[in-house]
Amino acid sequence: MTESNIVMETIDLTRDFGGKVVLEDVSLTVGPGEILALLGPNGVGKSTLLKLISGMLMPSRGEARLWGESSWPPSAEMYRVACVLDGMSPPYGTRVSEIMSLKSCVSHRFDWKLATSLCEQHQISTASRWQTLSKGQKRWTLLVAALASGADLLVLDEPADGLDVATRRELYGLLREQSNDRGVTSIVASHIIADVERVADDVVILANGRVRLHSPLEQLRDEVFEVELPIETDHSVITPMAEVIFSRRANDALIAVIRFRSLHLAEQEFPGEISRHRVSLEDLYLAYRQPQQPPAQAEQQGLANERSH
Amino acid sequence: MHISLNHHSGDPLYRQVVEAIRLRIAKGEVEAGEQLPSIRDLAAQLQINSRTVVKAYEELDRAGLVVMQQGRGVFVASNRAALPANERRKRLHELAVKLLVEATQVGSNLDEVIEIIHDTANELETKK
Repeated sequence: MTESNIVMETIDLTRDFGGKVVLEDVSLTVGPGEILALLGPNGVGKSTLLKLISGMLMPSRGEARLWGESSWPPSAEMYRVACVLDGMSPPYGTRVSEIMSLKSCVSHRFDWKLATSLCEQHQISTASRWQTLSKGQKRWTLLVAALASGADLLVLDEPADGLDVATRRELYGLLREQSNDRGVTSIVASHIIADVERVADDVVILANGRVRLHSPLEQLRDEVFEVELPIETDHSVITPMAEVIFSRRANDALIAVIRFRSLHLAEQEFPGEISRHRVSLEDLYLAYRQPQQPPAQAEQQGLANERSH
Repeated sequence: MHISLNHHSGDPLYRQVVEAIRLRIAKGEVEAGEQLPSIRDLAAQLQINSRTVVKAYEELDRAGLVVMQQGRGVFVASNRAALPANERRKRLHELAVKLLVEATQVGSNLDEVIEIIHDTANELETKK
């Protein structure tokens, strides 16, 4: 990626809260029009990362950059970013129209027509006051304000919270549309993997504040398989061709979720390969969350299984 | 052009698009020389990244099934370049293995498989 092709970049981004490290050495890049999904269990640092990116938090070390400018202190580029983050709530009594007005003050590209129609479709009157809206309507209102803002980058933290399936699909459809039509980039933290699988171009899995995986989703679909191999197969047979993400020995086979090091290598078979099939993002996510078994321990377990036969 | 995508199968989306279009061409639902939806339109309709559509069209182009013409669009190729005999046999052999393994697993036999192949061929033929 060349300099001008990078929308968002983090370099060794680290943040601790009172000595507790929440995010450590996160280095990521996101290009224009990409939809990046951040996956990881609660408390893994997703929200902190989004706040650091959007200039709402100061890094302890490293930095986040938007269009080449540091996010801290927030640069003049910030007007090109629209966020829907956790715990955002307008003051009591604010009308929907005022939320939109506020956005349109920041962005001269604010699309009133889009904002009004997206609200109307969800039975939200622009005259309504914030506290009279349902949980889902509140979430949708904030999302509409971001979507209509004409921003070049959307930063969304669990945007589907409180939305029903149809609305979630609509939201992700709109993100795709803005990406394809205007090259809008989105960074979305979500724990609803089925949604992510539908829309993401790139996937990041965070674990213990670090990046465990960063890859284009289509590439994962091409390269990741669950293979069943003879029980005596050693990891060293696999590793020249593929990374072992997770493996277990079950009954009389070694079952491993692996990622081939290239699409070309994925055409080859392992000695004695019994079967292989593709895995969903959900299964892959779970595989990444399993603690890696040290080979010696795996060996023992394999032997124990054999003995039980 | 309606294509159903399965986002959760783990199959790359561009492959699913390639397979769907290959099937349509095989069935004669789209004819030689016919224009396929533009990259932009197909991406919008399927709600997928336009790069995924480009990748699918490029793969079909490489396979000689479509012709991508800069600035004009994507068209179904008129005379499909046949694969060299050894390549062709290799590819069909792989598919035959899959089919026969599946057939054994569901308790079918060779006769039934052959019968189904004939029936399917007839089906495709009548749709042309």
